[in-house]
Amino acid sequence: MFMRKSKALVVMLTAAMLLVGALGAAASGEIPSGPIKIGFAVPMSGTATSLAPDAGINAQIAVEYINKYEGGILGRPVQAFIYDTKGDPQTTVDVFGKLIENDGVEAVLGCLSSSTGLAIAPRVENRWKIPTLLLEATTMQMFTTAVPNPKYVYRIGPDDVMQSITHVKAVLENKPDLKTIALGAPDYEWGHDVVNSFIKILAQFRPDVEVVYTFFHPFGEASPNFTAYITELMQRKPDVYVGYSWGTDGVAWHNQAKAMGLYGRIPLVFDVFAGTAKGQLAEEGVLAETRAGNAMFPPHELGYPNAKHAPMILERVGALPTYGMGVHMLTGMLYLKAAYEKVYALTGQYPTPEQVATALDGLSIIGPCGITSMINHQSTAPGMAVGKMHQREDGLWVMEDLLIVPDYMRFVPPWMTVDEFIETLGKIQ
Amino acid sequence: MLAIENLTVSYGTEIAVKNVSLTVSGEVVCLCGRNGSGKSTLLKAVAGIVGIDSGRILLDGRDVVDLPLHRRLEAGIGYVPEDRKLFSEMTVRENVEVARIGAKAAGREVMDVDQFLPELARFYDRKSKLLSGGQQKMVSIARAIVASPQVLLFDELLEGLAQAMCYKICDAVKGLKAEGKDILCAESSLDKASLYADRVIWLEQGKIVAMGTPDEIKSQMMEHIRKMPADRKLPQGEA
Amino acid sequence: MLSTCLRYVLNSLPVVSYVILLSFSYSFILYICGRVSLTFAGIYLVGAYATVSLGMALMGNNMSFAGFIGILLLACLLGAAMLVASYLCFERFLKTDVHRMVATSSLLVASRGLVKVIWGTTPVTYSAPFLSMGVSEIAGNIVPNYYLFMLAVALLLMLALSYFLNRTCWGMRFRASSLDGERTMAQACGVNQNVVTLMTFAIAGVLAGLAGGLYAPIAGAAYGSEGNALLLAALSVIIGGVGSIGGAVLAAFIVGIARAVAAIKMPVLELAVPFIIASITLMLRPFGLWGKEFRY
Repeated sequence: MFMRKSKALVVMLTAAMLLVGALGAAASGEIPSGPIKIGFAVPMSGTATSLAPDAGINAQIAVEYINKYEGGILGRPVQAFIYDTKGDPQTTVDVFGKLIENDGVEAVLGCLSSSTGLAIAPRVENRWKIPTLLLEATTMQMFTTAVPNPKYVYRIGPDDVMQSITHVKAVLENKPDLKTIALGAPDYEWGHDVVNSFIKILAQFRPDVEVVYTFFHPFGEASPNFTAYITELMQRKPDVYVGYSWGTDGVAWHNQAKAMGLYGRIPLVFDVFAGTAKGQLAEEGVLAETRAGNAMFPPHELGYPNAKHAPMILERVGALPTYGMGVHMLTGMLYLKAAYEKVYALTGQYPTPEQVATALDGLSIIGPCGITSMINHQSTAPGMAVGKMHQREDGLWVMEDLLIVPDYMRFVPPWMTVDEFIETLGKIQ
Repeated sequence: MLAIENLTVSYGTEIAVKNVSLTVSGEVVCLCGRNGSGKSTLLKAVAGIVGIDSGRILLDGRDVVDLPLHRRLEAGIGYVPEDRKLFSEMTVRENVEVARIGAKAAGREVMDVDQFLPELARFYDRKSKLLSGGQQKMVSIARAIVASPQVLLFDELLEGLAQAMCYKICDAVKGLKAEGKDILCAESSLDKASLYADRVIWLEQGKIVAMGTPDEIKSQMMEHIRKMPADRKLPQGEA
Repeated sequence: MLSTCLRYVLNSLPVVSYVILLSFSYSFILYICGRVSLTFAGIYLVGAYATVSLGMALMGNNMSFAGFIGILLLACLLGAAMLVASYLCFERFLKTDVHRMVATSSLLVASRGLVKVIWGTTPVTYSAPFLSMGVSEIAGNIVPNYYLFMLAVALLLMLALSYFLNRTCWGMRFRASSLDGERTMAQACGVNQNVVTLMTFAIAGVLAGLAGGLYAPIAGAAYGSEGNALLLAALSVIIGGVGSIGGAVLAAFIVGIARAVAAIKMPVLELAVPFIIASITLMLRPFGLWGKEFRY
């Protein structure tokens, strides 16, 4: 009798436990209440701020946009944790640790310079294992040597080759009869990379063009004097000058080149960063790069998708989103939202970080500047274009005559090496 | 007249001058004593270079203790430091000129230096660092007297000088005394003090132990040595 | 050949003028007061930002030369006031060189902080004075007139200082203070050391503020440029010698021209050149090319 009673008790207890377990399992399928925490590790002080001024405000705007116009992520409002990386690798690592370990964010967006991206990518893959969207960090080493088989790390900004191909195409388009060219860049790894890559790609398209002068000026030296380079450049009289000076260097270069009359003496000047630093480097008629698509032209006036984003930035920052930083952030947020929704639709459960990371690859979204896809952890970065600087009557600097190089012309497909791709491009031409 | 009353000066816990009182009136008084007996410190205290713990320094009845260093010249105090401390990269003329400008700014009468140091005129335009020790001493004296101070403080005036130069400087000092200046000096050698001093004050460990004319002090010192226990006298054969 | 040499000289002019003012600001305090003070580099930064802000606020696009001179004067006054204030509130309590070194470098960080709070970290630029002055052609070389203006201001100021030091009563008192190891004999000669020190800090502040103000239209005001200012000033003082006006001018020309030549002939060395020259100078003439044996 006693035995039977106890048996019944065991059966009942087991049934109860199973029921609780089943309920628990059902509960994991529900979307947690409360906000979803997303981290931003962006430079808010240091040299990099001249490329991405007001990065912190841009992060806030991206989050506000998602909450206000997109209804958050899976209905959860986004709560942003925004920290200053100072553009410095060690600080970036510290900031990531703080975001992931202390604040418990579910994903991180960040990194402008390649050095910061290279510092955190291996740590994310091996230790933190949460979806990480690099805003720039354009170095080719990222997915070749730093994290060759990435799972959690993605990149929104274009890589160096995409950039150089766009630049070469823009120069040839704007000055088809060029015979000579000169290039100048800041003296550090990236500066040398872009100049070499430009020369290599140009040689594929137009082997007859002579590079008459290349120089690498001191990088980030405060109070720079570029007069010597400018004088030498004017002596060599190239048809086109392509310059990669940015930040404080860019300001000094622009002022000094303008005072010495460089812009009037060289038929075509392509100041890649002329659209950055809130228009301080802008010069009428000079070519400039748009990066993520709307650096200096008003996308809301051109009927671009997500057109509410640019006015929000214009209102808060007083200039259009320079260097596309704000665009990168919004693009990243839209990618994340799409990934969460994709996992939830497939499994009916709230996604784990691993699932989000897996879901990001192959996604296509409508970004601030059109459809963009994440292929092999690299976003195709639509609308990366080159245009001519022009100051409108209302004082706003914009870009005109945009040249948009299509994805297939600049996106290295996963089955090709960079060199093979560049060679193929030359043959197509 | 310079009157020092109960002057005590210390460097941290080390007391350098203990409760010293003396007066100098139209005469040359020389402080003598061994190294560290407090002679230089006493002069520096009067010049305003070191601060004092207690006591008074009266110049014609006016207490100058609270005057900062740069206003002692205005009060009528001239100081010649032991190591001369000339403005080495400046010419002799400029060295004297600095003090002359200071005197004029302070509203003091300017003294004709050449009257006491006629030799100086020969090297007015030379850089002071190129001069010999004796010549530098002269420049230092000239710099101190150009503001026609009532009190002159000379630290180790004849130290390391050749005989001929000693006499020249002594003449200058006597000339200044004749002008009615109150002159307070410090010399470690009693012999040198006797060349120009009217009175000698012997200091030991910051206290006055003897006072009198140079000859009196000399004989007192001999007496003192004679009274010493035999084992402290010089050994036989070495005298 | 002559034209090429002239080109190097003309290219170096902005650096020359800037280094003259900055290095003499540093060495003037070191020479007259015997005090190491690194605060001048912070003043340089403030001078640059103040000039840009005042230029934008007071003149905007309606640039006038007199207005710009007025703004430079304001930057000088601000520099003088800040350096004097830093001495009165802070530096005069520092008794040893180690103290001064450590404490004034923290003052430098503080002035960076001030700039960050007021202006942020994005570089700002006000290039109207630079651009509106036009260019001249000298023997086939283009040189912005602003460079010539900068050099003229720097040299005139040095001449004025030289006149002040060597020909005036107060200048003589300054020199006497500088040559007096413990700074007692100058005071015994009636020189009020406090006044001399305050005037020295004020003059150094004027020079540093002016260096920032004059360079800002060329390169913008950039957060972080004070480090470079400090380095170039220190190296130039090593090359030229402490307290020597001739030395400051000579060192500035050497550093400026060497860098302009290196930029074209051997770009790798451009930044290293001042260090190399300073090292060689130290080996051959430890007190600098024009310096006197310096003791304090």
